[in-house]
Amino acid sequence: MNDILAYSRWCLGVVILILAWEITGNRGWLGSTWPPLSSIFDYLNSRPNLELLVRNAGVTGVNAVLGLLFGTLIGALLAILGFLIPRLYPGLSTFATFVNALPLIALGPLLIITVGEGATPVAIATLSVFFSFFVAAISGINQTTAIQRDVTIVFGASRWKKLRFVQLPAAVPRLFDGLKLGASAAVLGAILGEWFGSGSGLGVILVSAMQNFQIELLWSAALFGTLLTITGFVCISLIRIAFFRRYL
Amino acid sequence: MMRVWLVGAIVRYWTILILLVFWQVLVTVNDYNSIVAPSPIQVGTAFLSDPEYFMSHAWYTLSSALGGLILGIAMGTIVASLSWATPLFNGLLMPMSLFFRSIPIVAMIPIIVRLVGYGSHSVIMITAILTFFPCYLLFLSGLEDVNSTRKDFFSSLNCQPKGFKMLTFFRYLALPSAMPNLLVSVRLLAPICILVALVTEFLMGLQGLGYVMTSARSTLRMDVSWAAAIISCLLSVGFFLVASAVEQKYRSRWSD
Repeated sequence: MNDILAYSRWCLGVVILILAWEITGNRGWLGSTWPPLSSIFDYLNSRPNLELLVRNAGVTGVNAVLGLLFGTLIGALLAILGFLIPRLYPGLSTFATFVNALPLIALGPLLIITVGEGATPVAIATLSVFFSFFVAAISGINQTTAIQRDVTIVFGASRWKKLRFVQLPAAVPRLFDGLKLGASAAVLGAILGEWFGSGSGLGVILVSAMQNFQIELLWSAALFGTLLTITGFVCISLIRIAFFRRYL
Repeated sequence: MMRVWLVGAIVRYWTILILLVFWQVLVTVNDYNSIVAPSPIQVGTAFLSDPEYFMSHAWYTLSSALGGLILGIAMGTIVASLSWATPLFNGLLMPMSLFFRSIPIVAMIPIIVRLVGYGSHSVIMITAILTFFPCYLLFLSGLEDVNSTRKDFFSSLNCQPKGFKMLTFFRYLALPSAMPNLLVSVRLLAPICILVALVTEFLMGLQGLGYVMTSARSTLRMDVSWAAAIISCLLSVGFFLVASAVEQKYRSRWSD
């Protein structure tokens, strides 16, 4: 009964959100920059507009996926390094905190020179994924219970064997949490990176539509960015379900 | 004593030292012109040649980020308390906050810039809007996550989270349990609010470090642009460290 009540409140919330959006847009209460929801779908209904957005969302998607891949790899490598050589760990964790606190936009001028304009979106996406994955990997590796650790000591396992057979499997659930956070960070990083003189991508559309007052295009680009993030979330959740049959 | 301190610093900061050395070596070896890539020394001199210019812009960025953060957190806690008190309000707000959680919101700043308009108030407004949602969600989850033993104890004293005893329950049970989450949200949002302020300044190009980064780039003063970038990194890292220290200090007061 309580569930039904909560659920109906939730649905009411969704309906009110959409209605409020539509009415505000139609009446123009927030100025011409807040279009009614229906006009965005009208805009997307024409073929060239849709093609433009799909093409650029594809570019951003590829950038984000590459960033997610590299960020995950670097994060995992550094976490393993920090585990195998404990002396390096404090420096690595300071570095990770530092990277996390860096405003990504400030890295733009530096990255354009060092990796080039084309690779800047991937680089920024990589950096923003790196932190969440590194933290998830470190906390996952330390997830083992005292009994598990005692067993490895009794059997005289080396650090590497301990990592391979006990700690990595134990870290898997945490790693997926890190990936989930990373998915939205990667899309955000790719879009921010595209603001720095990239040729195509959702970031380019967002900025040019903002400057040229193409309101419908602006909102559609935002919609596609959201769709990209949600797709990433869903994909990772599916992989997680497939994986958990083995590790749970 | 000095040596111990030095070793400690190297163990902690070796990665950053390596980065700095690598940067200087890269520039020296490739013999880059300062228009392509300035060396750390050139960036340092660019800053020292006109520190007041950088400081005034840094102050602008920091003050608008802080103002926005305070506004956002105030709104977040108030709205979270209201929706804790009224389930209907909570149900209505939940879909909206879920929606906001799933979008890469910093990338949506171009839209918000258009909505709130160009001007000196925009940076504060945008920072407030973007810090509101994470704070709201965290604070609300803290309010609802009351220790069940204490809840039972309170209900045995006839104090429940509804009716006219609601305020007492809120004051002595829900609020203390949400305080650690408030501290966490300040720590999480500290670098984000600087990022948001920089992005907004970058897009609007009126004032602040974000503006210095773009305007210096368009006049090929790469050393100035990188100096602004590095100052904003330091600002953000510093703010994050302060927020973490505050969290560490007051955390034990509220958590069990």
